[in-house]
Amino acid sequence: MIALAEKPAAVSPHKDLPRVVFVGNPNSGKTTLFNRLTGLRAKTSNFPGTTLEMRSARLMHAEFVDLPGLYSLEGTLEEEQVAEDFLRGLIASSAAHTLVVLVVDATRLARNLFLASQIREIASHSVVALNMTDLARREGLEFDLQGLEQALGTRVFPLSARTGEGVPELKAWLGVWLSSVGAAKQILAPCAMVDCVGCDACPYRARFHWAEAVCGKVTRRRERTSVTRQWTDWLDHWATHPVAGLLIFVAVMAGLFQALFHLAEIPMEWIEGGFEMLRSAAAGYWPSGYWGGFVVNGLLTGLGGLLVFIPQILILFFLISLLEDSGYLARAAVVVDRWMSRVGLPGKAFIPMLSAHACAIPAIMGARAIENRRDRLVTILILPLFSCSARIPVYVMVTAMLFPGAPGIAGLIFTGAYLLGMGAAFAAALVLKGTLLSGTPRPLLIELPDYHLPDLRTALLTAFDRGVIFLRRAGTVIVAIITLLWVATQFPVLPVEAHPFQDQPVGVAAPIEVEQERAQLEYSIVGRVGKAVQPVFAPLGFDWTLTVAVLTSFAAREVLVATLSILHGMGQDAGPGGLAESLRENIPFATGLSLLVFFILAMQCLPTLVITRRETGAWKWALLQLAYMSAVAYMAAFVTYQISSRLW
Amino acid sequence: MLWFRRVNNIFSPHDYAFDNVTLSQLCRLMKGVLMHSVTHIKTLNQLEAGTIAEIVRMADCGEAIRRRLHSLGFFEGQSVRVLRSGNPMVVEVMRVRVGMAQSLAEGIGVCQKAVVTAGPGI
Repeated sequence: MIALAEKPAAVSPHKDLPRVVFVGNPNSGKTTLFNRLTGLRAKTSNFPGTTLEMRSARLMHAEFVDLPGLYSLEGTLEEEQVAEDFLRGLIASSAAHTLVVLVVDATRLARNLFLASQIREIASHSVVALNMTDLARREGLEFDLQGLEQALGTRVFPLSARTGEGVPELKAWLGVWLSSVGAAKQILAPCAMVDCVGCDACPYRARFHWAEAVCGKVTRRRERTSVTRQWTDWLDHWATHPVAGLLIFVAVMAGLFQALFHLAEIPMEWIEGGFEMLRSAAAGYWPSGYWGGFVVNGLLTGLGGLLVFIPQILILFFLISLLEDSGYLARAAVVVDRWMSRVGLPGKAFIPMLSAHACAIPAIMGARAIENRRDRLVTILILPLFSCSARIPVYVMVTAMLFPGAPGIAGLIFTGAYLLGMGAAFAAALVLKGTLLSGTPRPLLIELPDYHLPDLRTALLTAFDRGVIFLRRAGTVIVAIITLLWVATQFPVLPVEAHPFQDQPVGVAAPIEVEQERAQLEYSIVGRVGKAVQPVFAPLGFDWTLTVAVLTSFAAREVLVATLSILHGMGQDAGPGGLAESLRENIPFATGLSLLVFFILAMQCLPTLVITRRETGAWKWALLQLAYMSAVAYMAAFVTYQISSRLW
Repeated sequence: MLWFRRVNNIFSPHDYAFDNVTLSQLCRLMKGVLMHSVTHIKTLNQLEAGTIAEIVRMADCGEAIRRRLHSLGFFEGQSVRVLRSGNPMVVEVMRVRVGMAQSLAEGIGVCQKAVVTAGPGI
């Protein structure tokens, strides 16, 4: 018998409510069943005292909790240990009020019964959801449910979480159990497992032998081969092949990217258009003054810049969830692992790396899929080096400035920018492997579930959940800091006598408002700091306007274009193309190249910094990320400027 | 004397009693035992696709990895089937496919049981 955890581990936030805890192996369909029962009522929160997530919902006057997948109650992964402590803590605090719903994959009964044998030893109340019975039927499997109930000493409900078959029966039984929970009646028979443990030196072997014996007794196979497994064999022949598998991986990821950018384009335009309308309406309501300026240029700009990423985040997590549920992502991890491990990265890091090309924020959040903390930290630290979509306006502006009328060369520069980001990321991983985060990534050991059609409901709920988390976690801090930055560009206020239109001659091209904005920015805290800091950036060829642009764009890279537009008298709506014309006259070619290299490698993204802090649980990692990326960007831009200024 | 009977079976078709064995014969037989062990125990990564083998030894690969391997069904006495060799390799244990790095497979000693040339496989 396994002793209960001595420490009163994390307990439910709602102590008085009965708890229904969903436990099961990874890929057993546990979350699909949880989602089917709880739907949109479920919300994601952290395990108390950790950054690891759990999903919970209030239903039938009880708290339903979905724990991460467990192979055993002696898990080695951080997530498994936290989940296990949580479960033991719940049971220790109130065993009579805690029901464990053990979700078991009917097509992998023997392996799943291992965990069942452990759960039965610690839980006073449990019920088994024999999931995927539809797939088991297709494989020709039949079950003696009565025999299984006797062996486990608890009720067994055959069901399919995917189709909903058998779920109402389980729900009805849960309702009955919850209505009589106060009676605290022991409903379990002694576990048959007890008879066969202790006769062997290896408890794992004993448990597995028991599981195989039970499985053999209660399962009958009508056919020798199953269509699902034949399909899985055939698909795996190609999907895990060293060459063909890599080509399939590239094709799938290219398709994912195309879908991501194309599908997100229209809703992103809607959001941008919507915020533009809101800004116009607000500008009409508050035509002048600080309040109007704050709402229009501070709050709405900050919110718009944040919400515009929502479509990409929703679509990305929807597609990744579909791929994961289909069984393909596990194969992709196998295919890329041999390449990634050479630079000290785990195979699973490829998913956040792909996401990072859209936006580093969901990518860093997606790094939670990597179990080992060292591997997860390395991945998070290098993710912002991949060229995200927010860098594209900067690339467009600089390439248009450097190579006007030469789309071929501009295209090559664009490709080079992406490759430089990737190369720098892998180089950084190698350096981290040899220094701060030494060691090799945890060797790949991953279950490859059978292929099947993904569950749309789960994918939609996952995407929705990720969107809410992004808004909740990033929104508050990001908007606050963007607002502060806006204040720093507006104060101190330029005296009226210093306004540029005071002595402006008639016929000057730049509109008066733009000149006022430029003068105000130059006079503000940011402008003054920019001028003071300019000597630091002088070796990169940056003048004070570029220095100010670098400082303001720390909030978000896209701000660079808007800031330079103001400083070069183009107005905020000039856009990258129009601005390039103006910059070409004022900025030397070598400085342009240096600026490009700096923006490829520099962090320049406050939201990313905040998310890194949240996901790593410490400011030191976020600040390290900022420091090393800024240093690398500075040095690379310095070398670029020094060489190119001598050549051209 | 299980080892003795086993060696007898390998090196001689005749049964003979332990009492009749001379020291030189015993040394020769001991060498045979060692050779037998060396030639028949391989590591998992050395097996070709389609091979079915029994796990006979789990190397000391650290507590965390050992527990993880155990909880996935890898322990002494368990049968595994190699579906794809190489790095990483794909094996099947308890009807579940598992992708495994070569470095882990190197620590699992196996005794080959059969090679399946037809039927399901990747």
